[in-house]
Amino acid sequence: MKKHKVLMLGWEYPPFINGGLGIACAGLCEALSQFSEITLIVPKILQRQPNKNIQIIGLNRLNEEYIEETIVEHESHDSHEVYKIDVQLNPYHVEQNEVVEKIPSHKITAKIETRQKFGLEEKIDFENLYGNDVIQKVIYYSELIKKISSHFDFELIHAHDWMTFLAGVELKKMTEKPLILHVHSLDYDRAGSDSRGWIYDMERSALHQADLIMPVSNYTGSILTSHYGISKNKIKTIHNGIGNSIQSFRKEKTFPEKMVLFIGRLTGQKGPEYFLDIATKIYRKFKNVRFVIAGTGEKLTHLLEDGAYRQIGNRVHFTGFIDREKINELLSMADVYCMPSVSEPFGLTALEAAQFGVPTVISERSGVAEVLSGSLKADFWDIDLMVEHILKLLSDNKTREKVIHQNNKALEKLTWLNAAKSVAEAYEMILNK
Amino acid sequence: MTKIHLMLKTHQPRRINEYSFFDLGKHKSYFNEGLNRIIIQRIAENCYLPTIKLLKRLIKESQHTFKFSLSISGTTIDQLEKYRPDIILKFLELISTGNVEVLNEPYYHSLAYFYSKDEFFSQVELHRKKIKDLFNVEPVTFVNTELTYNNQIGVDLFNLGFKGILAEGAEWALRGANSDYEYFAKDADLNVFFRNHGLSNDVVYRFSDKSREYYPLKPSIYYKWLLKPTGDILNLFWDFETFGEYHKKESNIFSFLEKLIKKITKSRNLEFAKFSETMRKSTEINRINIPQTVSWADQEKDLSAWRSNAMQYEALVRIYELEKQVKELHDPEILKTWRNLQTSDHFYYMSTKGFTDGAILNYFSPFLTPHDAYRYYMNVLSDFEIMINKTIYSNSLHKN
Repeated sequence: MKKHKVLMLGWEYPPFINGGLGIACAGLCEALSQFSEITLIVPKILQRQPNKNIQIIGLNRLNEEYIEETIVEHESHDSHEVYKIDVQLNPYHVEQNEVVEKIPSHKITAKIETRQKFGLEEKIDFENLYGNDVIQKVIYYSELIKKISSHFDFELIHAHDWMTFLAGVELKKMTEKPLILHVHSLDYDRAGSDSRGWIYDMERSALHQADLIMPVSNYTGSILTSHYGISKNKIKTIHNGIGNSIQSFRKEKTFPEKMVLFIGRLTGQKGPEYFLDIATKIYRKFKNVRFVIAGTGEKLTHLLEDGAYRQIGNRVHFTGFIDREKINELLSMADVYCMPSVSEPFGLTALEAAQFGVPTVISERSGVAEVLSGSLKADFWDIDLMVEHILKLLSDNKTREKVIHQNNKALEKLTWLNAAKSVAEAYEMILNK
Repeated sequence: MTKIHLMLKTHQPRRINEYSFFDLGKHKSYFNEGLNRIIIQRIAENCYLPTIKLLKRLIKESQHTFKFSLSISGTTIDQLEKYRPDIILKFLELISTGNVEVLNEPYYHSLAYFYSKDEFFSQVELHRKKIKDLFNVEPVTFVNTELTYNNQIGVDLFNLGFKGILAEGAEWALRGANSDYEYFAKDADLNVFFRNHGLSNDVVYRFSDKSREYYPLKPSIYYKWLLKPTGDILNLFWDFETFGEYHKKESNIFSFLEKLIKKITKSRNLEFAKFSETMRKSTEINRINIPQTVSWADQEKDLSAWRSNAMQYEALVRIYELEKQVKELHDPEILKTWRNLQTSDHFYYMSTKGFTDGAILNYFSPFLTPHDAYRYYMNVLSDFEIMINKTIYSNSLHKN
């Protein structure tokens, strides 16, 4: 197989990560570099990384060479007449100094030279990758990418999540290279079936323009077909792998009770309220247990009050925001990991729990449910079944051992190498079309 | 002559640590002794020392016509003994003038009355004994935590042998009755003294209020206000911390106090009295019916400052449900810890009244939000429960 040149567009890269996206992107690129030549552009890197396999460009560390005036060539295969009209609305702040006002219709291919000038003074700070002005950041990112892309030689574009989709689509228009969109999460996951607005519209439009879409799970693939109207033929699931950088360990608990763990942002998508329901029901039947809700989010105060109202506040503990080290400590102590997500494209934490040898009870509506074969599963709303699963794992050692054993086997297959192989195959297929 | 019952009250809780889930079962220190020490030291310097000195001088200069009552919680005494024993001696000197009536109250400034009367009686006795040991006086007047009062409290305290009790003069409870008269409890021969909260708070909370017409409040103006009420008595209950802590010395609070006291002691219309000196007989005064509990906290002047949201309800239920286990252990340290966790302030910090997304910070709370206060308290409580269970288990091993 030929080593294809791919321009990878990402949003997070370690150590600047907010969730699973940065970890997945880095894991995939690392493994994929055996099969492809990768140039990865992200808004922010810690320093210029001397990685011989991957060329990583951080927009926060851009050299002047990329920023200075460059000439971008637009190729147009159409033979339409193009007129310049004076518009005030110019979302990209690009000064166009020379515009060919009319393309001669007899030419099949016209080359348009556009001199673009980038105002460095307008540089948007990528200090925080999200925040209220994330949309401006997304537009700015896309502008910059267009600006510097001519410096790179590539055969196809591979963009990760909606923040980079705009840039991907723009690049495709500009270069006519095939576009692959990698979907780690959708607006649907965050906003539910009511999802609409700029992000949803942009996501949808990009997905329809893509040549191939790689969701991280069949579950996300099914949302792409049902909610975004994407044809099944354009979808190829690439399950995430898991790195072996984490050294798992077990730690003695400092209290005698069993421990059931929830980790995640405290937002509706992650189902923390369902976890509270589960905890309440379990505690009614089984007293020798504590529940830990790790993470923070808009639902924290509500959950605290709700736990108090149910009078289980002495058994449900909220850690607030915690760092990686503390998360590992929790995983090393937990007896059961429970992930009752309402919509979870993948669910990396469940894999991490499995790595730590913690048996997992997970929502059917998650990507990991497809791969972590040992896990006990239930619909997120099926509290009784979740409770039954957890109680079984807390009391029945045989079931417990079985779940751990099967999860371990599943983990062996879940490598980034396997994921990278599938991605490389897809590249080959797309380019040979 | 209108009798002025001036009551100075001081209470400092043992504030708890930001106890993390990761410390569960490790039995780390529950109380934020770093912070508690700093606060006690600060109040000792800014408030106790100068105020006690001034009060003593005023008693002497007034030829002992200046008298007042003092309420000092057990948790305050404990912390003074630990960090500033010199202040205990200063209080002793002040009380030894004979012009200070020391009140009895639940030692741990708790809401025990509403959860366990056994525990309540124990804390009253503990406080009585402590006051006797330290200051060699026997209180006859009682003040329940945060001026809480209802008819049944009156009966229970009368049965303990008290002659008088203090209560908040909440309009909703007095229902037209005037707080500036003495009353008898509805079902017991016990004098009830209601706080005149308007005149009391003019000093405690509003002395430094620049938005007021009478800022800065002059002793002569305040004195005139004191002459207005038409009752026989005037119950002014002030936080001791008003002097030098709530209002720093730069606000001239000390000179206000001095001039006011001197004015009253020279007055032909007002005189200072201790509660014990003005106790009346049942034939002389009316009985008053207070079926619902009053307190001096917040606008509501009821129990809602400590008990209105689910977090407060749960925390209170949890701490008191440990009573049986704690008491059966007969371990003085565990008992003391349990009691220090009953202090009403812990639940006050969890109050969400007037709390909107952290916009209003509870002045007295060491925590950023009521939810933090609850979270840390429940972690402490969980660790405490684990410790109790361990102790019960190891005791059972020793027995066998």
